[in-house]
Amino acid sequence: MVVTLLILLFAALMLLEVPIAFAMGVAAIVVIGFFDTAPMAIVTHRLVMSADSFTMLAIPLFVLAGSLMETGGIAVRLVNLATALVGFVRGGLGMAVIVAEMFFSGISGSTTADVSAMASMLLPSMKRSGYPQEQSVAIISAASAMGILIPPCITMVVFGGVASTSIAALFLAGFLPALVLAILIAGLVYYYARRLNLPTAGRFSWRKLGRAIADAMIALGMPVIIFGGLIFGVATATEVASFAVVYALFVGLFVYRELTLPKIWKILVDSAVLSGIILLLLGLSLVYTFLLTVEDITPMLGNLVLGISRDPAVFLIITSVITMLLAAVIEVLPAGLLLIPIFLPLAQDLGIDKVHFLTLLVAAGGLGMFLPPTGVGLLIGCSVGRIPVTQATRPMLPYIAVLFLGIVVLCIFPSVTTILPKLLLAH
Amino acid sequence: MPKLLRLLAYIPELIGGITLLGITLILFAGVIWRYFIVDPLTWTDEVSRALFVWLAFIGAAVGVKRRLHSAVAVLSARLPPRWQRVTALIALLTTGIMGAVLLYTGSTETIANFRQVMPVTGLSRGWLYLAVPVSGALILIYLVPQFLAVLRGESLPHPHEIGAE
Repeated sequence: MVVTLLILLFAALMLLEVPIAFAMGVAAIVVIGFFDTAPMAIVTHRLVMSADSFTMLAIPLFVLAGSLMETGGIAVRLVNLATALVGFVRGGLGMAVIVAEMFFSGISGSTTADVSAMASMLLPSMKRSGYPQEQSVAIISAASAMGILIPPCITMVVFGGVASTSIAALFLAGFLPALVLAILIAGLVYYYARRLNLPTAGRFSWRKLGRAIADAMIALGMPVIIFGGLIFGVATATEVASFAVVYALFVGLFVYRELTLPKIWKILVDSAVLSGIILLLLGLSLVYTFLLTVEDITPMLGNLVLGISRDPAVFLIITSVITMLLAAVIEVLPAGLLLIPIFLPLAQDLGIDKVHFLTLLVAAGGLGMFLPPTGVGLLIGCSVGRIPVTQATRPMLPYIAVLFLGIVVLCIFPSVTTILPKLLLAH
Repeated sequence: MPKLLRLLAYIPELIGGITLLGITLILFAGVIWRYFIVDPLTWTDEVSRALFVWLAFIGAAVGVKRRLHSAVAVLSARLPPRWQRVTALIALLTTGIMGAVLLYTGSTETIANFRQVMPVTGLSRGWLYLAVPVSGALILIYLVPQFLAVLRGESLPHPHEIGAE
C-alpha cells in the first residue's frame, strides 16, 4: 500500500514537471504525513546526514576542479593530442573523439559537460571531413557514455557514498571497463568509416605527436595527481580533489592564464549551486528509499528477479537493463540512488562484489543517458548538432547495441572491474 | 535602496562561493600540515564538513531560484498553454511544500540540537541544522516571483533538463 502510493506519487509529480528531487521529497512527506511511518524530522536528519560527510565533500571539489579546467583551451589541446595519436587510422576523427573523451573525462567529472564540450568542438571539423552529422552525434554520444567510467566521476562519488564503498576503489574499477567499451566503439567506428568511406585525419608523425604531448602535458597533470594520490594512498579521494582544485587554479591563473578573478568567482558560485542540487537529490532520495525499504520492497523484488535465475551474471544483466531504462528517463544519478538501496542487498546475497555491482550500475546508467528518445546526453548532443533526436536514433542504435554488449561482457567477467583496485589498493 | 536590496539578495551566492573556497583551502592545508609540517590539524575535517552542510543547503536553494533542479519534461510540452500554466503552478506549489517542511522541521531540529556539541571544535551542532530552515525560507522566497509570473501568464524557463550529471 505505502509502496504503491510512494511510487505513484513520485511518478505523478514527475509527470507534472516537478524537479525529481522534490518529487521524491514530497512523495515521502505525504506518506509520512498520512501513515506516520516515520517522524517528519527524518527529512531534515537525512539531508544533514548526507552533507555532514567527509566522502561527499569530494563532490563540490571535483565539480569545481572540472569547471576550472574546462574553461577554454584545455579541450582543444586534448583533442589535438588525440588526433596526433590515432588520427592516422581510417575514420581518424571518429577515433580521436573516443581518445579525446577518455582524456577529457579524466578531468571533468560530468557526462553532460563532456558531451556538450566534445560536440561543440568536434562536430564542425567532422562535418568538414564528410561525416554525416547524425553519425558524428552518435559517435560522440557513444564515447561520452563510455566516459562516465573514467574517474573522476561525480556519480561514482555519490554511489560509493550511499553504499559506503571506497571511492578510490570505484575510481580504479572504472578504468578497464572503459577501455573495453572504447575498443568496442572504435571497432564500430572503423566499420562505418570503411562503409561510408571516411578519411583519416592526417598521417602519423612523431614530431606532431611530440608537440601535442608537450601542449597537453599540463592538462594531463590533473589525472596524474588524482591517480597518484589515490594509488599511493597519500590522500583520500576528498583530499585528492582539493589538490586537483589547487592545481587547476594554478594552471588557469599562471600557466594558461585563461582564468581571471571574476571568472573564478563565478565558477565557485556555480559549482556550489550544482553541488547543493546534487546533495539535495541525494538526501531526499535517502528519505524516499528509506520509506520504500521499510516496507520491505527488497524481498518482494528479490523474489521476482531471483525467480528468473539465481545466476549472478543474469541478475547483473537484469539490473543493468533496469538501470539503463530508468536512467534514460530520470538520469543516472537519481536512477542509481533509487536502485542501490533496493538491489544492493540482493547483489550481496548472491555474493557479488560491491565495487563490481556499483561500477556496472554506473556503466549502465551512463549508457541510459544516451538512449533515445529521452536520454539527456543524447538530447544535448543533438541540440549542439542541430538535428532532431529522431534523426540520430537510427545511427545511435548500433552503438547502443555494442555498448550494451560490452556491459554484458562485464556482467559475466567481474575481474575486469575488480582486478585494478585489488592490485593497486593493497593497503 | 535597490542597491542595498540587491546586495542582500546576493548573500546566498556569497555564502556558496565562500564556503567552497574555504573547504578547498582547509582540506589542502590539512594535507600539507600532515605531510610537510608533520603536525596534523585536528579541526579541518569537522570545519570543512560544517561548511559543506551550509554550501549544500544554500546551493540547493539558489538552484530553485535559477531553476536548475533537473526535471523530466515529457507531458507539459504537449499540453495546451492553459493546462501548462496549471501544471506549472502545481509544480511550484509542490516545491513550496518541500520548502515549508525544511523550514519547519529544520527549525525544530535546530532547537533540539543546540545543546549538542561537535567533538573537536566544541561548536553547537545547532549551527549545522540552522542551514536547513534558512534553505527552506530561501526556497519559499525564491518561489514567490516565479509563482506570480505564472499567474500573470508568463511562461517560466523550463527547469533545467540537464542535471548534475
